[in-house]
Amino acid sequence: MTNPSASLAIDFQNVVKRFGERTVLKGINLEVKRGEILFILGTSGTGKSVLLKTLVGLLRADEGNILIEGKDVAHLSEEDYLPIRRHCGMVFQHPALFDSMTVGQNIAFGLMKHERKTYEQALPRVRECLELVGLSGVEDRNANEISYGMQKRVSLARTLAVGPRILLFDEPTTGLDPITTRQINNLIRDLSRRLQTTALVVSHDMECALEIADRIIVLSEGQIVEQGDVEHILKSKVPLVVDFLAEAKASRGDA
Amino acid sequence: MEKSVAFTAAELGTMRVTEQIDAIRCLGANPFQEIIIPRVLAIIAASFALLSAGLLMSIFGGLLLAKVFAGINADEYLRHIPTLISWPSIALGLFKCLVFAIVLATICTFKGYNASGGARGVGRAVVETAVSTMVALVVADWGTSLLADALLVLLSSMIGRTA
Repeated sequence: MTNPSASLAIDFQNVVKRFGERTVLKGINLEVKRGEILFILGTSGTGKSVLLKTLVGLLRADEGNILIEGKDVAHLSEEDYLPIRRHCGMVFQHPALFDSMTVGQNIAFGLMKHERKTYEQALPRVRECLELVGLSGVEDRNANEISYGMQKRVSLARTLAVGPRILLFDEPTTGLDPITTRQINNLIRDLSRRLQTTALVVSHDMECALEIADRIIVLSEGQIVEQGDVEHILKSKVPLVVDFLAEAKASRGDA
Repeated sequence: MEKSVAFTAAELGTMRVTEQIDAIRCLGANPFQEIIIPRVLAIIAASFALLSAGLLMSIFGGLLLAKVFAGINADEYLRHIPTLISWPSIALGLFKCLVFAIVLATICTFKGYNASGGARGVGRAVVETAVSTMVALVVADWGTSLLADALLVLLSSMIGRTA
């Protein structure tokens, strides 16, 4: 089992991931402390999502070790990986709700599996999670008839319901309007603080990162090109980071 | 049967490409237990239900036609059924039904589960399911008949020896 008291929530040791000829992650070394909000920034196609998927075992690393709360998971079988994923909840880029179910059934899914609860028994927790994401009273609606922004929040509630200690976000605000974007960002920050969870956020939104991240990592072509706290990033001379900062400043200027 | 098979392939394919299957895995649940096994069992159960419905319809259809066109009354018709149908043929029918159901369920869940590449991928999975189930059914039909024939020959030779 993982060790919740390990000081590092996540530890990537020289992780390499290839797709055929193409090497997507070229030896990533990354440490995430407990309770930290870490942003991974990069342009599209630099392996950010692959990094998250490798972490939760949806994809398998070709080389290197991945430690989650001190336990090496890179070589686990799918069966042994399942309990790990409970503590390491992933929120997908697309909401990926089970569209044949209601919102409540979606959120109750994990609870019903792991704690052998009936839907009625899970309902208080479902309501609690919906309240956490600011969506009270929608549990009986169909998952496919609510708006995209709501679906994203329900998706987050579904992940929260099983009580993960680490939250992984894959592009949480992509495709959302500025107001919902702000709501989601505040949510990530508040939840991490309130529930003491570690958050790993993959994004290309420098503005959000500057606002809520404890630490930022910039990824380019499968390698880490810059990392540090917000202060450090703001002073960075790495061209990609400078571009990102300029873009963030421009969009803030427009607003 | 083809209908529910195509339906299942499309449904699983869509769940795959919209990351719903990954979501199940990420919630710490096993997608085989959650979505594959129930569907395989449902398809098997449905084929037997469909088989019984088909048999009933053919018996009563025959009965009706016999009455209307040949003037054979129902008692006469039903009395002759056991003389035409033997236990081995019923067993073979049930066995074929089971094999067909397993073949269909395996193909459609496999193709759907392994779909990739968005809406196009789902379309491709359904087409591949339709094509391969048709071929597989012909092969399975031939295979089961061959097996049944071989068994029959074996049994009759054994009976012949003891007699």
